[in-house]
Amino acid sequence: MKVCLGSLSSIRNFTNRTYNPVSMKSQRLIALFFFGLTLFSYPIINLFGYEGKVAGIPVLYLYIFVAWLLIIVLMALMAEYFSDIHSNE
Amino acid sequence: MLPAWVTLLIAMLYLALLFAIAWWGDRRAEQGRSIVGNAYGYALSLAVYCTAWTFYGSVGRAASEGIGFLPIFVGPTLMMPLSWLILRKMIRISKRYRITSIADFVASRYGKSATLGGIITIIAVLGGIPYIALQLKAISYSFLIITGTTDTGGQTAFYVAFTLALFAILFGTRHLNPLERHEGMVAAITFESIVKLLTFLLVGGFVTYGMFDGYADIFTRAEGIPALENLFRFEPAAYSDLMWMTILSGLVVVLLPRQFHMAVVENVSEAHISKAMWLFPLYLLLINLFVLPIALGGRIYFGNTQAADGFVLALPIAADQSFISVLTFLGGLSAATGMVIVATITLSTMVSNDLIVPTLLRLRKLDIGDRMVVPRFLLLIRRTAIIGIIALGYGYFKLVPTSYTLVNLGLISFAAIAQFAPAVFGGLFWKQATKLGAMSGVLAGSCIWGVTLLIPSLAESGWVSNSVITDGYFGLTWLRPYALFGQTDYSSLSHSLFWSFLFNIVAFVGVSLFTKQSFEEQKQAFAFVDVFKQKQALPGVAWKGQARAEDLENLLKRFLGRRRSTELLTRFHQQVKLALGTNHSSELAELVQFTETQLSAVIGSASARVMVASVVKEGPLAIEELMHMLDETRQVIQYSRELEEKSRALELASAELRKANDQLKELDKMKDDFVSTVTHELRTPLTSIRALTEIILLNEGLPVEQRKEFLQLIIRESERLTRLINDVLDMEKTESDSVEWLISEFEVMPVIEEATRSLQALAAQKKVGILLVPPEFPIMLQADRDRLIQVLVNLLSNALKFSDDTGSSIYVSVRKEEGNVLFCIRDEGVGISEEEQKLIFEKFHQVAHTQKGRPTGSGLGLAICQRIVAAHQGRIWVESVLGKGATFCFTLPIESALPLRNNDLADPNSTLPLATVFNRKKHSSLHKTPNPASS
Repeated sequence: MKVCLGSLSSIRNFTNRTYNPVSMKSQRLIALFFFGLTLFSYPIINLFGYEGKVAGIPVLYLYIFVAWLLIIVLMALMAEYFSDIHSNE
Repeated sequence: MLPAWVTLLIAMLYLALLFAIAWWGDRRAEQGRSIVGNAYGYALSLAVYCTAWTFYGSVGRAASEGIGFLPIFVGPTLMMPLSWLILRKMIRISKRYRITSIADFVASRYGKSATLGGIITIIAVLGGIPYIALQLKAISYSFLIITGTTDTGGQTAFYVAFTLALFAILFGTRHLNPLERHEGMVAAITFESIVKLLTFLLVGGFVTYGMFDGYADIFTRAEGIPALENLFRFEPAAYSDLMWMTILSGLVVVLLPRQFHMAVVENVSEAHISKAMWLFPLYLLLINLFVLPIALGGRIYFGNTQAADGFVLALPIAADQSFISVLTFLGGLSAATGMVIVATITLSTMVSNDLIVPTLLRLRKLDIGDRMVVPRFLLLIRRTAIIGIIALGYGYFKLVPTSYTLVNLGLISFAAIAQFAPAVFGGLFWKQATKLGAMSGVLAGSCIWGVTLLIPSLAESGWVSNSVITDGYFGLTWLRPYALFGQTDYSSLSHSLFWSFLFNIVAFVGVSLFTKQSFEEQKQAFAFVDVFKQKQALPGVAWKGQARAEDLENLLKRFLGRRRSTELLTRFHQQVKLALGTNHSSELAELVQFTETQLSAVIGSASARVMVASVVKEGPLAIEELMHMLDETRQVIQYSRELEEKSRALELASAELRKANDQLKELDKMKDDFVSTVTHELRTPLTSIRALTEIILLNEGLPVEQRKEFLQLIIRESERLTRLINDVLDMEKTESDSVEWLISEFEVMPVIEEATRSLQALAAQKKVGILLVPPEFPIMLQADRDRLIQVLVNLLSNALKFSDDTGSSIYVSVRKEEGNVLFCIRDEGVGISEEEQKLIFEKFHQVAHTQKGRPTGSGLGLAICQRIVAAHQGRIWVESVLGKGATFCFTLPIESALPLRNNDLADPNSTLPLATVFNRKKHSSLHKTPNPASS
């Protein structure tokens, strides 16, 4: 039984290293791409399409800039703090 | 208001500063102390994306369309997370194969096709010229605003254009460099990026907080103006426009020739992407912070009397802030010049590498035998192209009337460049994309673009009859440029993008699926799509190993000049020596590869291929090279196959181990059984001996008859005991190989008779006949005579034991067989099942005897027989069918392998087999004692 388990885990290591073409970092960034698309997609953006102001700024503009900044901050976090692999996939 | 000459002087001084920075940047790079070779420089150089279009045009767009100005900057932001996947791959490919432009990238991907490179170049130039015109227009326009003049005939734009051409020539085409990096130019662009951001923030801050009382004030005041009301609302109908614009800008941020140049060609390290990925969007966000306040402020301040495009500059002038106005003017100038410089340099490289050089090669005007100094000629082409492109831009600006706003011109350019997207991104991840597919996609897309955007824009400018827009092409209403196929819901841009992308993608995918790739295309597809899996560049020209290093070196010299090629070759030889040692043939292969790569950078991949192919013998790529290409994949497959095999072997081994373990357990159990059997066997005779002796001892008056009978019983029981102990000892001895074999030569038949005789009495008692089948001729045999008798007796008594039926017979036969003597003893008893046959010779094994319950005997007889026969190099086996008796056979070689002993004396007691064994022991101990060394 021990022998079998050993060979299984070595196969798992092997596949992890060679067959997984998308690193954790790339996966996070792809997810962020879709998240960003969602933030700026139609029904979401329409939620803030009403007339009204927060701190003197129209809600729509405020939302767009805040969402924009959010994406940048998330990207910065991923690039600077979760960047486990730098040069390889 | 400033006098015109002062403004012009300021502009020229600024440009002089750019020259100085570029010169300094080049100097630093030569000294190896680059000022822009870091992530921040990289991020700032990407900001060449923000042109005068951003600087002035964003405000214009915001004033008329509200949030409509944002998608152009949100698109790149959304795209940036994917840059880690896409941009990094493009960089890796371009560095490895020395690709220097987007046209070369596409051409190289699709089998180094000169045609495709040419098509891309033409579209890029077509899309680029209006964009350059737009920058010149912005410069001229800002000049008009700041000087307050009304008509100067675009003189400023002319001077600036001329100066920029000079800059591009000086810092973009100073010499032919296969690296195609222009540190000085990048330094200047980085500086310009800083200038335009800071000045825009300055003027924005001034307008918002100096002229107005902050954001809230501007928004509150704007609310009062009915014309501005719809700017704050989101109209769902406008969403498709926003979406298309986002997609468009997201695509062109990588595809625009100047963006490709800055992001890919000028990239120093892939790691810089990580930082630029968020710094560049942050830059875009910052430069847009004050766009809306300026737009609204302008509208509040000027009403509708002024074009919104000029608000950025008009507001500080109106506030009489000449310092801020000049800085703003410089900011706009930096935004415009940055774009023009990079665009002309990259477009000129494309025109030279992907249009002119391939054409000249095809026309055989650039033969290798030519005396012409090629490097100088190539530079001449590029310089002419720079001047030509700027001249075209200037011409466009002079000729096309000003009815079009800056933004619309920019968007038309964007839409043209976006047609590369399927071919570029598809080619990066889809190996089956073919040259024909890419070509038809790009052509179909740009045709639709021309029909739905370019021609109508010309019509609106009055160059083409306006009836095209209202009545459609050829008077066909379903071919109206803004309502193709009668579809009228979209704005002109979304409409054009939708149809051009549809045709582009369908043609690209469809044609790719139904055409075959040539070998070169297949190879390039591999090189591009699997670039991360390959450790080094794939071989370029398919060559047959027939090349002369001299020819290749001459080729390099011809195109790069003597000095530079010598430099490169020296470095190449050093590296190759390190990597390869003295392997000559692979050094040549490396040189072929090296030459093609270096040439690619200066004349484009398609032409480089042709040039290198002209000096090496071309031929089908060898199988080995193909295998080398697939090496990585192959290794992975092989590795996994090996693993599979190993795990299969492991499974097999563990199964064997399990089997062995089972056998061991079985044997262990047998041994336990045996021990209990033996002890039981020992106890029975002992008990009866003890009981009988006690009776005799206690009953003195026992009749003699009875006493005699009891004594006889005691003898028989003790004989049984002896037999058992002998068997066990014998077994132990044969097991430990310490038996001394007494080999002699004798005739076989008398031995069989002797063995039979000893059992005759028992047989008679059971009424079983023993029949001997003698051989035709007497057989002589070399063996241990006594041991042979032991085997025979064992087998015979076995046969007797299982012959229950009265009147059945046992047949003993013997005959000669190929150097062996074959003995067979057949009985007519119960027989042995097949499973038992396999185990019957095992030690401790006893055939289960269902009728009798417990088996009789020690279970050692056959095991002893087997060992004796094996010691003689013979073989023993059993043939049997259950219920039909069994035949035990064994063979012994006629000539014994064991040493012969001249001890032929028959033991007088050997007629009794058990006693024989018993006596044998005495004999051997007698033999042993005086001569211990002999054993």
